[in-house]
Parts: sequence; C-alpha cells; structure tokens
Amino acid sequence: MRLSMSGEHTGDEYVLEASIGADNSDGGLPHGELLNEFIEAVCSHDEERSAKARQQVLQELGEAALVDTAAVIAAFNGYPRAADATGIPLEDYKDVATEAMRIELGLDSLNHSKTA
Amino acid sequence: MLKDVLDNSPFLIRDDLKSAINKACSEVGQVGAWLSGEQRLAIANEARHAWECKLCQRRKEALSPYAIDGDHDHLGALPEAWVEAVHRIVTDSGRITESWYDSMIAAGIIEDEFIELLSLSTMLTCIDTFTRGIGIESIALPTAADSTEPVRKRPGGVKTGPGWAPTVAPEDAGPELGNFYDIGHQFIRRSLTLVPDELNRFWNLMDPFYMANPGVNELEGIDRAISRAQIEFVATRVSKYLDCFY
Repeated sequence: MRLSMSGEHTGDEYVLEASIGADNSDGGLPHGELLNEFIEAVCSHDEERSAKARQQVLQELGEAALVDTAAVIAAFNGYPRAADATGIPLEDYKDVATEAMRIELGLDSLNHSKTA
Repeated sequence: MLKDVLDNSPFLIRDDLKSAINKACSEVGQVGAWLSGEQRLAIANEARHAWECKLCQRRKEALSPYAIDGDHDHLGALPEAWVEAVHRIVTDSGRITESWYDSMIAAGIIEDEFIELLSLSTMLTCIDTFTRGIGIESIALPTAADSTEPVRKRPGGVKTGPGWAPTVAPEDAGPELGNFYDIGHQFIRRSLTLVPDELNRFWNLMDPFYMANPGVNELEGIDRAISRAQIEFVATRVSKYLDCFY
C-alpha cells in the first residue's frame, strides 16, 4: 500500500506486479530490477547470486544503499513472521483502501489470518 | 566477539543499527519473560539450523506443508513441538494457520512462551538475513546462558484477538506496555503485546532495520540511502516472497 501511496505522492507510476514477483522488470522504479535480483538472491540463500547482486548494488547505488537495502530486507523477514504466526488480519482501513489492488494482484489467496 | 563481526564489516553500518543488532544478539542467552536463558539460546540456535532441515525443505516445496509428515532435523535441545514451531516460523511462516497454532498450544507450548519463541526466532532470522545481505559471516551467539528463572507474569488487559493469539489492545494497555502505543497502534504492533519485555526487544531491533513510527507514515524526509518508493518496493517484494498477506 505504501509503495502505491509513494507513487501517488511523487507523481510516479509503478507497475505493482514487479514488487510481487509476477513481473521481474523494474516496474518503473529506479533500479527496481537490480533490487529485485538482490532480494531474490538474499532470500533464497544463494551465496553466489547474492555476491554478484551485492557488487551490482554497490556499483550502482553505493555502500550506504547496500546496507539500507539489506536492512529493509531483514526487517521484512520479521514483520511477516510476527503477523502470520499470530494470525492478525488487515485493519479495517487497510482492508478498504487496498481492496482493488488486492483483487488486481490476486493477493487475497495469501490470507490465512483470523478473518480469512 | 559480537561487536567484532560488525566492526570488521567492509561496509559502514549505521550506529543505531549496529547497536540494536549487538544488543539483540547479546540478549539471546539472557533470561526472558517466560523462557530461561538456556531455552532462548536453544531456540536461537534451532532457528539458525532450521534452514538445513530436510523435512522443512520438502514441506516448502509441497502444495500444502500439512500434507507432509516426517521428523525434523534438529539440534536435540528442544521438545518436539518447540522444534516444529521454530522451524515453521523460520521456513514457512506464510502458510501458518489457526489450526496449526492451536496444535502447538495443545502440544504444551504456553501462549506466552509461543510469543517469546516467535519473537526470538524471528529476530535471529532478521539478523542473519542482514549479515547475509551485506556478505559478512553470521554473528556468533553467546555460548553461556543466564541461569535466572523467568518471572512468567502476564500483563493486564489480555484478550484473544485480533488474530488467534492473545494480545493487549491499546484501550486495555496498562503500565507494563509503557508508552508503546503512543506512536502507533497498527495490528502488527499489537501482535506481540502478550509479552511486553519481548515486544520491546523485537521493536528495538526492527525500528533501525526499517524505521520507527511515526516515520513509517512519512513519504518524504526518510533518513535512508534509498528512496521511500525503493524501501516500500523492497518491503513488498520480501513480504510476497514470504507469502505474507498482511
């Protein structure tokens, strides 16, 4: 939802499918394809692929961006686990605000929460 | 020893992030609210080991993890149900169901213990993901555990919901929660409130990894080297990787 809001705020249009795996392009986001590759490599525990992607992130985005990207990847290895293991549903306001986007991207199939 | 790994990183790591990681790692062997230092250390080691488990790998590849029976590859320091809980949380959290949660509680894990186990397994996974991301070795965990007994006391105001685990709603929060809800009361913040000490440990690590409220709702002025849109792109992509609906 915040990616969509960020695009609305800056006037940029992002292909949201690129953030959920259906589309491996950059989605209109600067360095989106590179970020996608780095995420996939790290999350799949592929050391060789990670090393290559890390070098590319370093070259194209710099050291601080590498650290901050790795930190966000780490953070979102946390929130989903806390959410999914306790079964929390979407808050009502998010449920309403994201309904069209969830249908478009087919996200409701992932819902195992208390209200699913 | 903990500090050396991060200090020897080839990349400059923000002080707040370095400090949070060091603190989280150093507390792994300390007594928790419901778990002993020894139990916490065993959970952290098991969380790291879970990725090597063949049963978890088969389940991850299956259409439903609940259709695959077998024995976990484990380190032998935890009861069977605890191993299942740690491994599932680490390797396939996106397909956890209420029935599975109920089965863990029926197998003898107290709800409060589950929350502490969940938090600890998750924090260790986050730290390992970060070190893997920047290409440095995993941080060594403490080898000795605190022998103090946990207090094992619930906060006031506990009710089941909004998911299947008990939590403390903002309107029911007592002094144990301090000012936790002052800066936001989304369900994700509420999810671990059953164990306030662990709740604070979790968010003290997560905030520097991502950002603290109220920055979460800001679209500009984020003090990071990637844009807000890039941050949310990464967040969304990783959440999808874990099959997380929330």
